[in-house]
Parts: sequence; C-alpha cells; structure tokens
Amino acid sequence: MCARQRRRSRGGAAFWVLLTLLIGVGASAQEEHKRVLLLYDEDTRLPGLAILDQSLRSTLNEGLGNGVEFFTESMNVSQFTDVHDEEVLREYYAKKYRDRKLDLIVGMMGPAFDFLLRHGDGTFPGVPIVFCGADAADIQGTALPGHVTGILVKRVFAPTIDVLLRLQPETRRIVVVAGTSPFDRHLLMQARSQFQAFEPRASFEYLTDLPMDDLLAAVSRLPARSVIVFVTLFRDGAGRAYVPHDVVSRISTAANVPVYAFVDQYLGGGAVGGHLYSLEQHGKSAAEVGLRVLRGELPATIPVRELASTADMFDARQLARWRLDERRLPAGSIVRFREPGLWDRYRRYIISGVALLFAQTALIAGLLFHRARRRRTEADLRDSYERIRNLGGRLLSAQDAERAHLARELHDDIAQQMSILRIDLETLRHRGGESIQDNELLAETSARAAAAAESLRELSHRLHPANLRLVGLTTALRNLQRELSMSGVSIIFSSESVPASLSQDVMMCVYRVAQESLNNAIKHGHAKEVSVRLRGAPDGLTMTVDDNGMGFDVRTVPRGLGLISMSERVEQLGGTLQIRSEPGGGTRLEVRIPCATEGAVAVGAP
Amino acid sequence: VTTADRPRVLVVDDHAVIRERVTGILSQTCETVDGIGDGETALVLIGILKPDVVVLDISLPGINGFEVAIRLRQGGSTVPIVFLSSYDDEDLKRAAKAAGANVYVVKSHLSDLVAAVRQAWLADRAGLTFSKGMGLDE
Repeated sequence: MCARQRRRSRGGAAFWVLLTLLIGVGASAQEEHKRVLLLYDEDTRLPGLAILDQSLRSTLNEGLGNGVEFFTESMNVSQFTDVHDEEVLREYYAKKYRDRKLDLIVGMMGPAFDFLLRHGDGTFPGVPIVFCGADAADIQGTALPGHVTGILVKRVFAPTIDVLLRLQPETRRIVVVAGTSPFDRHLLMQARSQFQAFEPRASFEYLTDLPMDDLLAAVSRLPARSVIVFVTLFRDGAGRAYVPHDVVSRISTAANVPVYAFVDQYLGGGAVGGHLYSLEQHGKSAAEVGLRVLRGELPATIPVRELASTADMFDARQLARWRLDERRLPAGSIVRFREPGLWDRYRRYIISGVALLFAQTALIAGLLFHRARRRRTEADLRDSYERIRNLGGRLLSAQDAERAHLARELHDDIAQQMSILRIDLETLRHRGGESIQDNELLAETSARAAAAAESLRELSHRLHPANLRLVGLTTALRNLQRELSMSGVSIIFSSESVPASLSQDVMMCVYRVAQESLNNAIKHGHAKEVSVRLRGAPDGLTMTVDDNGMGFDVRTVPRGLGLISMSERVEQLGGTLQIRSEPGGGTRLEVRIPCATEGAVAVGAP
Repeated sequence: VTTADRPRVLVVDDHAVIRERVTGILSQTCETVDGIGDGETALVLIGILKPDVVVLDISLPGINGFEVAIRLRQGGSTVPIVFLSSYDDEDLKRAAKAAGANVYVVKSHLSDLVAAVRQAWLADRAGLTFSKGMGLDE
C-alpha cells in the first residue's frame, strides 16, 4: 500500500516536471521569434544610417540570442512631401504587416518618428515603439503615448570649436558648410546658436546656399588661419541632393584648410575630426531600450533620455596632412587610421632580413678570419722552411769556406814553405857536401820533403779542390774519376757543351755531388761500374750519375748517404736533384742546375 | 856572357821567398825582373817591359796563371811562357798547355828551370815553338 502510494506520487511529480519543461520551452520558443520593424525615412545604405542599422541589429541579436526577425522599411516621406503619399504608405504597411504580429517598431530620425506618431495606431495597432535619432526639438511639445519611448540625440557643436581652437590656436576664421534641406537647416540652426559663444575669438562665415561647384571653389581659396566646419549637406544651394558623407570627402579634397565635423561617420572620409557624435553608440543605446521593451517592460515606464554619446576623435592621416601637432589633442582623444610605419608593416621582413644579414656577416667574417689564419700559418711555414734552407745553405757555405780557407793556408803557406825547403835542399845537393854521408843525408831529406809535399797536396785537394778554380769543372771531375778508378771500379766520364765560365758555387756544387754520389756508389752500393755524364744546355747544367750497385729504397732514404746535404746544395742554387733507385736495381741520380752559359768550352777540357 | 847572350826574364809569383830563390838561380844566366805578385800587374808589365821569357806561378791572387797565359796569347804575344808549379799534376800540365804555355816545371826541380828558360829563349829567337814538361801527351 505504502509502496503503491509512493509510486503514484512519484508519477505525479514526473508529470509536473514534464509540464514545466514544456511550458518553459514554449516560452523560450516564443521569445526566439521576436519580430522587429526598423522604420527609416531614408535609404539605409546611407553611410550614417548603415552604421546605426548595423549597431541596432547586432545589439538586438546579441540580447536575444539571434532570435530576431527583422523587417526594414524606408519611407522616403521627406522626399515625397505630399500628404496623400503618407496615406498610401499607411495603408500599404497596414496590409503588409496585418498577418505578421510585430513585437517592436524602432523609428529612426525625425520623419519616421513623426509618421509613427501620426499613423502608428492605425497602421500598427498596439505595437510598442522605440524611437532614436531625433533630437529634443523634434519632439518638442508632443505628448508621447504610453506605448512609445526612445532616446534623443543631444547635438553638441561647441566642443568641436573648442577642440579646433586648441589644435589650431592661430585660427581667426571659421567657415561653416551646410546644406539647404530641412534637416540641413534644422541642424545648422542648432549649430549657429552654439557658435555664438565663440564670436569674440573667431569670425564665422556661413557657406550654406552655394551650388556644389561654387562651394568647392570657395573652400579651395580660403585665406590663411581659416578652418572649415562641416555640419551636414543633403541638398546644395542649387537644390541637388547629396549624401553628406560624400560631400565631406569632396570638400576636404578641394579645401586648402582643415575640415572639422560633428559626426563620427565623417571620420575617414577626409575630416580631421572633432568632438564627434557616435552613431554606433546611439544605435546601441536605442537597441538596449528596445530589448527592455521586448522583455516585457512597458514603454511608459522607460523615460525618454537625451544622450550625448560623443568623443574626441581624429584621423591621423589628416593630422599629418595639415601638420597638426598631436600633442595638442585633448587627453583621451581617439586617433584612428594611424598609418602603420615601415616597421609595423614590414617588421617580420626587416627582422628576418637583419638576422640573415647578421648571419651572413658572421659567416663571411668567420671565413675571412679562417682564411687569414690559414694564410698566416702558411706564411709562417714558408718562413720556417726558408730559414731552415738558408741555415742549411749557410752551414754548407760556412763548411766550404772553412775548408777553402784551410786548403789555401796549406797551399799558400805550408806548401810554399815546403817548396822553398826542397829548392834549398836541391841547391845544397848540387853544390856537393863535405862527405858522402852528408850527400846521402841531403838526398834522403830531399826525398822526404818531396813525399811530405805530395801528402800535403793530397790533403789540400781533398779539403778543397783548388784545381777546380784553376783547371775547371771538367778537368776536376776527370781527375776525380782517375783517383777513384784506382780501387778497381770502372768509372766512365763524359762531358758535352760544358760552359767555360761557371761560377765557383756551381762548380763546387756539381763537384761535391759527383764526389758524394761516386763515394755512395762504391762504398755503400758496391758498384763496379759507374758512369758520370755532364751536359751543358742554354738554360743550365745537367749531371747524371748511374751505377750498377745494390740500390736502396728511396722512400726510406738511408742515413749516411749525404743525400740531404746534396739536395740542399742543389736547392740553394735553385736546382733540382732526383734519385731513382730500388733495392738490387742500381741507382740513377740526376742534378739540374740553372745557370747562364756562354757556350765557350772550359779551359783544360781535352 | 854579354847582355845579348842573356835573356830578360820576368818572374811572376805571389810568394816573395820563392820569387827570391827563383831569381837567384836564374840570375846566373839571365837578366831577371823581380817583384811582381799578381796576374793583372804581370800583364801590364809584360806589355811595357817586353821580356824574352815569362816565368809564371799558376796560383796567383786575382786572375790565375792560366788566365794570364790565355790573355797573352789572345793578345798575339808569342813570348815563351814557363809555368812554375808546386805540384807534379797531369791535369795542371794539360791546362797549362791548353792555355798556351811552353814549359811546365815543378818547383822542387828548379835546376830544370834554368835550362828550360834558356832553351825556350833560344827557340823563340830562332822562330821555333819550344815545348817541355807538358805531360804524357807531349
């Protein structure tokens, strides 16, 4: 029992929850389908109205989660002023919206407001109305019905004059441009009344009745220390209709002084700026009132408010064009259309470029540094090599010089003394001694002196071949051949076109190389046959020494062969020394020494 | 022995003592001119003095004896040239001959010098070319 009761009551609770949900969904579904009519007098494509329209729609959509169905009408009653037309419109709208239940009508600007007050009840019975864009003068003396509320535009003109005088304190003349349409006149009247306060500071001139061409010509020839303030111009002095937005552009293009304005929609079209009324802000405020009505508030409970949604706004391009000092702008000014600088526009490219440049510079610097270091090292190496070679050369030269010195001492002094000794002994021998023993002793002494002289000659010759200087290279080499042939080795010597006047250095070098290589062939290579060939050519001297000895491995040059000393001698004279040899295959040595040859045959050559 | 029988001999040696010995020996049979120590001076003096015989040392400061002989012959001189050397050396003898010398005498055999000088002088006077002591191929 208890259990059944509980089950039933549970079922009842579920029913109520479901009902609540259904009602809730129904209510929200109803809220999603709000129908709003936006009523304009003029074309909503006009720039100012376009801003207002966009602001209204987006604010209403945001407030109701995109659940608004919009209708838009442009009446054009101010262009078609016949009352009959209003009647036609009224009937047309009544029929058009009879079956569509509107939740709200937003009336824009004075003409729409007037139409709704006159015909709203008959056309859209019971639909709440929110107006905007009209000013206090538009509704002056009108008793608003209970279903109507709205916001009023508070048109302020004086603050722009304050701002322009602050920005251009030198200003003496303010040229006011306005049109001839009723709205133009209406606004101009308000502006004029506010300008009066500035009369002592600057003179005001009104260009309000000129045809467009004359107006443009006039603004292009304004005297210095003038400025233009643009009010509005729907129609010019010749009665032609214009869109004020376009007129601002044309005037500021033609003008020779800055143009100031009162509405933000003119910013960007050529106006410098001013204390500007924001259509966007106004639209938003009107939509917020509309939302309150749509959510159930009675219009009668929402008071009509006058809103001055303004701000000090300027166009950076125009400030630059007229060379106006931004530092003079009032605090909190909004500066739009700031031209991005080169840095802003090409920051990424500049950074990448500079980075690349740095990278390249670093790379080049690195390469240059590396190259410089390598060159320095190479130069150092060359220097060291040169020094070592010079040192080697100097050592050889010093050795040669020392040997030559010793040889000369032996020859010039000791050998001469020996000669004298022998001459004197000869003389004594020829005179005849006192006894036979004396004579024998003399002969013996003389023979010993001769032997000593001969030893001396050989020693001197080995130390330094003095004959080289006296007898020439060929003869000296032939002499060398004869000396070494005695050891049972066959040495063949041949010479060809050897120049007569070889320098002592060249002769000594060739002689020493020949001496050393013959020595190597016989002593180390145990050669039995050696051939030495000496050839002169126009560019130098070549000597080839071939032997049939044991040979050696040139990659591991054995010590004691004097090869280094030989090649140093040759290199010192700018020549080359080549050795071809292999174990068991004999040795061939070739020396080339560059030297100027004169073609004459050496003295002493056979 | 009259002056006409005695040849005028110029001795060229850079060693003063040897020059003295040589002129001492030659003076028995010759008119000797002493005191010349280098090749260049010798060439100049030979041109001026026109000796009958020139005795030349091989090793001289500046240009050597061979060089002096070569220049004399190149200059057209036929004066007999006697080389005086410390060494009995075949190479030197050959070089002496190639240079245009007539006699090669080793210093230790100065007794040969006296005869050789005289023979060379006489041959020259007779318009003959004299040669002695010039090596194996003589």
